Amino acid sequence: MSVIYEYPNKPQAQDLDAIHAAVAASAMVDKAIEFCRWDEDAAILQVVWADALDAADKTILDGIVG
Amino acid sequence: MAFPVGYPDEFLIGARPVYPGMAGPFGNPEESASSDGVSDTTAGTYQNKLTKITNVLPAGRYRVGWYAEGSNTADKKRCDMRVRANGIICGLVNVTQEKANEWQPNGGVYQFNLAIDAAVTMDIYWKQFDGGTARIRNVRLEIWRVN
Repeated sequence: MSVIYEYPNKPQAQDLDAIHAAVAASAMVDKAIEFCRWDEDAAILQVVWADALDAADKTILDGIVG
Repeated sequence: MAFPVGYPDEFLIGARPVYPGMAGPFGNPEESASSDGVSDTTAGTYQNKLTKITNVLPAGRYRVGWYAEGSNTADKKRCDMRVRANGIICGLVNVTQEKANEWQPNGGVYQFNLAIDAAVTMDIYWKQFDGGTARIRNVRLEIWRVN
């Protein structure tokens, strides 16, 4: 069951490939990111993971996505 | 709209000319939806961009039209699109780009028979294939009755 992490207030286009690269290069334990999605109309960035992240990994992801 | 010389006034209904052989349900009802904003995804599985559920339409033959612009952030990568009406695929496009971020226009039409009075669900999805970020924008869906 995929888990979606949403980041609102993102009206500008996001570099989704860079998010994937940053996750791969990070200290996260779970790097099984499935995909990212950004919608201009909703100004929302979604990062989808296969499983829920633990608190430490979520903090790192928040730092990557900003 | 220009009206051909020689047609009597009885072919005029309001401001819209109705030509012989054209009387009937052609063009009515019609419904449409659009989503202009850019949507990006790194997903390799189809993501929903726009769904339109019509009101209940009378049985008849209908035409579905669609338009969308697609691109990918990487060279020689794809943005795949899929358009459906009531779950039936009526548009399937694999946009392969030579250069990144070049928006490619795509569109198509499809006709089908609606056997009973029913609502029609139309949707358009997109995804990347073989890498990069697939992008889609200026999406249009429309449906109107043919006969």
